[in-house]
Amino acid sequence: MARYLLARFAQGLVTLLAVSVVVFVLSRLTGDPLTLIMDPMATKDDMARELARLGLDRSYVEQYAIFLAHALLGDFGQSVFYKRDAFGVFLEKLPATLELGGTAMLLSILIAIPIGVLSAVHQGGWLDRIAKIVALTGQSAPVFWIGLVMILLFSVTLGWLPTAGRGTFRHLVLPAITLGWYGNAFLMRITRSAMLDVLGTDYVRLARLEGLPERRVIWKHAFKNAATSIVTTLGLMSISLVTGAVVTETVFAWPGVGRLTVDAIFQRDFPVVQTAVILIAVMVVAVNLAVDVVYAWIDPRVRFQ
Amino acid sequence: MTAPLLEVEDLRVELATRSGVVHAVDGVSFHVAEGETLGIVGESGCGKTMTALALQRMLPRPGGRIASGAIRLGAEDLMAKSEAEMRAIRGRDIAMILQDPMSSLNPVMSIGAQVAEPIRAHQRPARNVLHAAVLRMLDAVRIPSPAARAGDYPHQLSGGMRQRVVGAIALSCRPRLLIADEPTTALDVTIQAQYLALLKDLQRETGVAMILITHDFGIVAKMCDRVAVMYAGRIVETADVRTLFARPAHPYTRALLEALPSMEHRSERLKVIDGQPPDLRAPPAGCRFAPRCAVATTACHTTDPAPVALGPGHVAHCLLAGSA
Repeated sequence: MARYLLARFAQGLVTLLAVSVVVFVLSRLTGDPLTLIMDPMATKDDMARELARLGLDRSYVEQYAIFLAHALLGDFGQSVFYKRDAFGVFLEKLPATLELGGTAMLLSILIAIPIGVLSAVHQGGWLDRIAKIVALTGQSAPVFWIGLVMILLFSVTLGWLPTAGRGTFRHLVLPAITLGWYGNAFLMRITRSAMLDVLGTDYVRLARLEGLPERRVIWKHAFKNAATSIVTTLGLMSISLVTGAVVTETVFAWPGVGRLTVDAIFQRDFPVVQTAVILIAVMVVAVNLAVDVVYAWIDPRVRFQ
Repeated sequence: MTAPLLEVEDLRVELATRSGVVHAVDGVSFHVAEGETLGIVGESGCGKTMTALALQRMLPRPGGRIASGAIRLGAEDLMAKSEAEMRAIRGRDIAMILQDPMSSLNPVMSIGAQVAEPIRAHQRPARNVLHAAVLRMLDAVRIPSPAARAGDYPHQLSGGMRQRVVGAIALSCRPRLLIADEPTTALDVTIQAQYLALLKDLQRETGVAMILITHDFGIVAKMCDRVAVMYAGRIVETADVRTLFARPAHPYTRALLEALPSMEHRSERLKVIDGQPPDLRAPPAGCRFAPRCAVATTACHTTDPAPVALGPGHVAHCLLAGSA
């Protein structure tokens, strides 16, 4: 068990290291930063002095080591646009994204999983059919389009909810539904098929032959076995919630890290872009690690590996 | 003879499939006395398992249904029971052992917890009573050091040990009838004999009646008091085990017994029954074995054979039985 988790942790660290290299190399490929920073009239001497001041005259290996050492201390440099510490700028926007992603995730867990389970238990029933149609539209319609349609319907036409921005609970409803839409459909289908697989097994048949109450057969015997696929999907979803936030936050003008990243790219604010990419990678790795821990908790075959 | 514990009369099971209705069990009648072991023998797909599931009203859904027939357990009419009443009977009065111990146990529950499930569902005992009952059951099926093993998970146990746990689950509520569906087919040959001996011991200790589904006449000879031979959804012959081996009356029974390899004629080719069992979506008229039968007459292809009593408890469904 400890060895399993340690191995997963080490894998996570390697992933992060790889991401940091990619980020470092990419930022060096985008051109000479001095041409952006310096006055067009600057002399060669001025350029050389600035180059030395920023450490850009050193070797790439040295530059990467310095970049990594600073990153570990939470120092990703100054934002060009905000003229402040890029890490601080990112942290400031993070709660909004977590609020949106967390709500979307909670909605999925409360809606998609029960519907997926019930669809499998009553396969071919009315709920199963409706869920199939909803899941299909959910997976085939693009997120930005769903967002725009919902704004048009619920904000512009009906006037029930605000079109954009963050503030009250009412502001949260449309972006959370939009962001969770795709994941909901995905989770529902995975839950359904995982439950169908498990419901057909001998041990579920035997549980019924033992005269156990149906609720216990479904939740204790079947669902716990289907849970590994569901947890995997939740892990994948939480990642897509962060990446999906880029689109959703743009559509709904939600002041989170998604929009921050998009804006930073257009503003060529590389310290902020680097911060966002690396910290999002950290979150993804952390979620994966959490998924692995939950696996071990659910499945003894993993625990005793 | 003691009064029958289980009586099945003219049981018909239909399975609706995409390509038509399969008459999986077609007019089967038999009985099992208390403490007795009835063997149900036949090749794959002849309706043995469907008969067993029908007794517990647990046919595969959707599609499976009991079309007609009577099933009585003691004084109770199982056909008249509601689903909730049947749930109370399953596991408590009728228990089942499935074929494959590798897939019969829930991989994410400890074996102790799985043995506890039916006891908790049917008897609702206090926690310490339940725990003691679980250990007693694990001990009864000869799991070494039950207290230490109760927390083990199925993947930590061998196939033989797992099937013992399945046996412990089945017998945990002291059922009156145990249905064992090919309980040793998936086990190693060396473990098979051990497991059968264990079942026999447990039967002696608890007095449980048993229906043993198998295609192995060696197991029948060792375990059963009486045998019902099934072919294509019907019982073709019923007899006590000695009579069946000594004087098999139905050509199908004879063919099955002849298909067993014997030590005396080792050089001969293994005997097989030519042909395939009929399509149960549209069973043939007359005797269902007639197309494969070596001694069939023209009448056999058109006339449904009525049961012929050949002696006490010996019945064969064959036009030629008793005459030859």
